Amino acid sequence: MSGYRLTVGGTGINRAQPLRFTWDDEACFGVEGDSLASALMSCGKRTIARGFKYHRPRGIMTAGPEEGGALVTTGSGAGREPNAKAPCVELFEGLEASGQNAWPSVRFDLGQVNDLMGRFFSAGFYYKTFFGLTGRGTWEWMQFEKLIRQAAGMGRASHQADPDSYEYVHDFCDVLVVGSGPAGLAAAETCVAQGLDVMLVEQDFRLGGSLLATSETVEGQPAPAWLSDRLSALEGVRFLPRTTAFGLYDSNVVGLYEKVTDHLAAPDPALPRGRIRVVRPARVILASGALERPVAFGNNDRPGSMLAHAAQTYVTRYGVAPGRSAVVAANSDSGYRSAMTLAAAGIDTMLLDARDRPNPLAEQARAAGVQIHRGALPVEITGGRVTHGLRVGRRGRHGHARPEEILGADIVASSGGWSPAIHLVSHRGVKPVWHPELCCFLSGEPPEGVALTGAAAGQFSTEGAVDHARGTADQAVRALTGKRRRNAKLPEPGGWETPIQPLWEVTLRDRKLKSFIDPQHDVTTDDVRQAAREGYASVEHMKRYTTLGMATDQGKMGGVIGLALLAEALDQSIPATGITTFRPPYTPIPIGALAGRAKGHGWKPIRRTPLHAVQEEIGFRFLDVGVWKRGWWQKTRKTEYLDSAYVREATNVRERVGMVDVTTLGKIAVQGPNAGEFLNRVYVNGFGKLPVGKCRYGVMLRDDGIVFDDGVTWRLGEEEFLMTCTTANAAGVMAWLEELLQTRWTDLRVHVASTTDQWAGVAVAGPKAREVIAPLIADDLSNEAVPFMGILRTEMAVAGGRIPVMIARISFSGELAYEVYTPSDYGPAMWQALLPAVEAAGGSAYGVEALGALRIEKGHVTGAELDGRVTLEDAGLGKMASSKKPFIGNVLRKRPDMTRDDRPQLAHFIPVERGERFKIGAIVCDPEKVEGHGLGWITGVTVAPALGGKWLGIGFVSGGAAAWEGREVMIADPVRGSHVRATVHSPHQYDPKGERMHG
Amino acid sequence: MVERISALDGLEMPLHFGPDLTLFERRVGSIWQITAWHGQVAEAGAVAAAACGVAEAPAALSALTGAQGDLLRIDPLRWLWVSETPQPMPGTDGAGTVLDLSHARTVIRVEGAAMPDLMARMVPLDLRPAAFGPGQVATSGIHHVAVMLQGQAGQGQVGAVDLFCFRSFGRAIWEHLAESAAQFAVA
Repeated sequence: MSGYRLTVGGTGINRAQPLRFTWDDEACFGVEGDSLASALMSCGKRTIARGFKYHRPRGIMTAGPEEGGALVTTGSGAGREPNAKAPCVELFEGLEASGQNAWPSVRFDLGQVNDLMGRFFSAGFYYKTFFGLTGRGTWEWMQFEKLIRQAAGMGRASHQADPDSYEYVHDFCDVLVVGSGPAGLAAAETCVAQGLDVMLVEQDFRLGGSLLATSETVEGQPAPAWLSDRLSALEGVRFLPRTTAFGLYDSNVVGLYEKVTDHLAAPDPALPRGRIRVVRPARVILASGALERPVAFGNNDRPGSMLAHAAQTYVTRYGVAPGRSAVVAANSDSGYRSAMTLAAAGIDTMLLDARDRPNPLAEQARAAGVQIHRGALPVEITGGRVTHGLRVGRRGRHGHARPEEILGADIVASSGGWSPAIHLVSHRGVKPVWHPELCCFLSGEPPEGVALTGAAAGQFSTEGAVDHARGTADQAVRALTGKRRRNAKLPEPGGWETPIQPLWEVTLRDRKLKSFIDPQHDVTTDDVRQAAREGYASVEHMKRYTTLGMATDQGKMGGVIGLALLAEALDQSIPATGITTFRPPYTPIPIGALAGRAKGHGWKPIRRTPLHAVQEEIGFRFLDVGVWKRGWWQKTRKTEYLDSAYVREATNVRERVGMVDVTTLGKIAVQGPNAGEFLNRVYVNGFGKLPVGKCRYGVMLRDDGIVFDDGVTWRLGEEEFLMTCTTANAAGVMAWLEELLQTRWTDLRVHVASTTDQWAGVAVAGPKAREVIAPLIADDLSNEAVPFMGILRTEMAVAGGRIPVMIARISFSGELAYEVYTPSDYGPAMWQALLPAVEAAGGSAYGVEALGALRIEKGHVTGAELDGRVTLEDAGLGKMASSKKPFIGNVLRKRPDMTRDDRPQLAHFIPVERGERFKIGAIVCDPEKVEGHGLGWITGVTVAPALGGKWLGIGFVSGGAAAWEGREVMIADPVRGSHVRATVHSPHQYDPKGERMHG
Repeated sequence: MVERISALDGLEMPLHFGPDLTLFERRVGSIWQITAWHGQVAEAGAVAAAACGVAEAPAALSALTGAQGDLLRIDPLRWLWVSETPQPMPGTDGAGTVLDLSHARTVIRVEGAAMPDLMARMVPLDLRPAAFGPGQVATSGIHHVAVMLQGQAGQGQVGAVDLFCFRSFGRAIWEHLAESAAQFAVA
């Protein structure tokens, strides 16, 4: 028989609100408050999934995140998500869900043939079959691996990009309570009553935990009434339903994953799908409950086999009967509660109590209509694809069961005891402690500031859990406020009316049963014994060899049974065997959530210059340079593209004038009476005697003598310099200067601060540069007034008035050129004043592509050349090094290997055949020996307008131009398949005497 | 008078996200950074306080408001004097250095009861009203970029924070804030 909706009951559903959803493309209906599992159950669906390895049919086994059977795929297209646990999927109108890991469907799956060959697929199958033996080496394994990977896996994720957004949230609170069951609510109530800021998280979409599935009374009230009262008393508490505490980390930082829109049919796109919340609470109270364990017996994975408390939950909370007749097999009192709930719902119910002794609950159970079989064990589920009955037996003399009869039932609900959910403290390395009377692991001493309560602390009665929680909360209040409240001793773990009796597995003497302990990974009891036989005596090794409790399960279903069986196989105690370490996340979280907003356009911040908009307005295209957006080239007409635009722009500079945004250059204010001395030590050349109103090009080395950065530094006053450095190195240089001042030269009175954002800069370059700028400013810009490397502070006339500008006569292009800076907010006005003047002179704006062409022609180095391998001499800057002062790197730059004549040195390269081209990254080789790393490498290429439009490269070659001037090399590009003959030239071909920029 | 063009020029402002959250730019006239020499912190602080019009320099990670603007202590040796109107460069009498950063920062105000909730998505700082209020200063990072925060009362004492962003990142941080804030407009 199948499940069905009961006519009454269902504390968590709204029968008046039906919801339509699809299961394997079939229209189905549930109601508001249903989970996908309860809705499927109410629709009579029994086979929901197929096993991972053997493809055996699987149904709904649990009502929570421990589910190992009903793994399904939800959504479609880019939003398709495999391996969702049906009990954890909140039903909504339009939900699409389907079976997975089966073909053609979960009801009839050809893959079930694997089950017939199950004896070959035991633990270690892949290793033993495909590894190591003759003819099964690495190559063979790699072939097998492809096939295995194709066959393996559970469900298939979408290959499309994740369409959803996610975000991180940082939370702070006094007390974080994990779990909203009776203990969590009681703890939160106590804390909030004392004025503490409390966050309460609940993985379910309804608050209440076990209260949602019980007909018990709590403190004299029916559970729903008690729940309602507690929620009313929690005003001010921050509730987070649909939120799982997935990890507990150092300093008691708790990681939460909050599902925001998974339950909405048409979520607003402004809402993220989920949030990672990083909580830093002063105190953590873990009221995370306990997980019911199954019992291992024959065919205990058949659809219809489920946990006893899960069956109770479906009846009580969802108003769904899992079947018409049920056998509850238990070894503790909790089975009685479950059996009575099922019987009260009209389900024909029998209870097998593994304990052969009187129980005070028995009379009540019988009165409810439950047939009780004392001392009876579940042996084997009978039936084909689904459960038709249960063979029961009694324990014989050798520990094996002696089969007796078959009880007809379509539901077999087992309860092998309860394991406190202590996963979060395990994340912190707390070792669990075995409690033999309760047959479970309890937490060891939790970390400072963390407390467990309720069932998580081994309190298995509701009253005990509430009492323990209030006491635990009192301790937190006392720690945070100093208020001394009651000093009651916390109740000891326990709560069963009669003791639990260990029951891990039921076996037969004469034949093996297929008994699963981890249905998610198809791990059987035999797998564990086999691991033990094969020497995997450590529980951690057994876990990995068998895959028991790995991945999303994290020991929830079969962890304890597995280690109990391992202990038995090794003839040692459970404490001696130990338990595996649980790892975060407690339940799966989307990978996209870990990225948060750091994907797509949110991957990195965009850094814009003050001149971004004015360049955009005139058709500039932008290039990502680190996080900066730099004007790349200007599209002046529809048919113009990069390759022609930059040549046009560069030609304008050479022949007339151009202007380019240079705001991105790093700018650092160096201030103080020792600023000159400081720069003297930092740069290879002297700055101490640089006159006020002048600037100078400088190069700085690392301690090891390698060139670190270069740039022009302006002396604005006796104690004030403005250093410029490369765009790419700006942050690095700033940090380096701070390090020097804070660690090496603490005696220097110097302050440094970044002013990159304070100034907008434009370089105006070309023979007509002076005549463009001069009419716009208030002071004289003649060669006499502002000679090469001179500085002028003046005002510029712009629309609406005048703005302050600083002008330095600096040339990166090799032409007469000025860098003009104004405070950033005036940048657009400056650009709009200069551009018409430049265009009137026949020039244009230009971008970084043309800037690169000009500097390559001129032989100026950039970060492309100063790549952390280059010395001053390599870059052709050796003559700059002062011999009259010490500076950083001066000693180690003289090491023998740094001064070899044959080191790669800067040079120009021109193809022998006009029309041929080579690329950046190609290697420079001796034409007779094109191999290995060659003699050098290419760092920049361009069409060179100044050299008649030839293809020009800049880079390095062993010995430099001095050794190769006019000789031929082969520029090899083996990866991209190109070989170009080229001649080597001095990097200073263009205007070698500097007459143009000094003019 | 030449108009100053902000990094947020052209953006709709103020931007409301439901009744409890508003973003807008706080336009400042000048920002002077005053940095003391070691051993002369008190003297430099006194100079800064006098310039701003407050009785004494604020302590670490706090701010005071005077007749001439706000004075923020941003690290052990530094203050920022932030004024809505342009102010002349203060002297330090040799106790430190002064640097003009008037154009180097974009100041974004996040205002409203939902401010702590939005900012919780930005910085790992406790900005709950009880923990971070008017007169408090902190430095953190938003969207991988360093940002300084100044607690403000906000219009009608609803709570607000000013984010001092590097100008070049100002628009990106605004866009990041606005994208995250959009959810607050969802009923």
